[in-house]
Amino acid sequence: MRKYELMLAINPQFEEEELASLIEKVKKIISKEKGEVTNINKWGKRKLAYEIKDFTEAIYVVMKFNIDELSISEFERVLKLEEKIIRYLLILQKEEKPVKAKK
Amino acid sequence: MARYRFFKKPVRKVCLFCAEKIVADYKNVDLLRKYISEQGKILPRRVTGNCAKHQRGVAIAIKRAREIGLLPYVAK
Repeated sequence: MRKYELMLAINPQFEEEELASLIEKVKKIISKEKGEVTNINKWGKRKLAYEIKDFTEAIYVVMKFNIDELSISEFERVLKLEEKIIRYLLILQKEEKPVKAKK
Repeated sequence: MARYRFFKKPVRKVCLFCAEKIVADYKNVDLLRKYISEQGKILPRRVTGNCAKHQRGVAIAIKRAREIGLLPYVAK
């Protein structure tokens, strides 16, 4: 098992409920691969630094989860099929260290 | 000798990440903005004063933030 962090940039035209269902869907994919979601943080709408697929803003969601390193490629493959996600970033989580509270 | 009187020894900047005991994170966009130029380039160590270890972390964090669209590759 490894700790991963996933950041999603989602189509900004999405409504609140649709967003919830999408997150639920991603969660389901993770649990299907015997992973476990530990933390979800919704950032809400944010302007993009540059245009991605003609969008100027996106809804950001950060998810933290544990999953077996062998299942991660399959998870990523399924994630790529989701069209509502305009960009994603999947990284290994660092060790927890105190981060300066500044946002 | 007199003409050298005006040269001051440059003050050594202290690495912010060492001083505050924090780690650069791609999600902390406001902090990372201090380490890019107006054009969006990553500032060198001689400007930021970071230690080598933390400068590396900053560079990686900026590149990650660029990937997901939080920071620009090229600003205007």
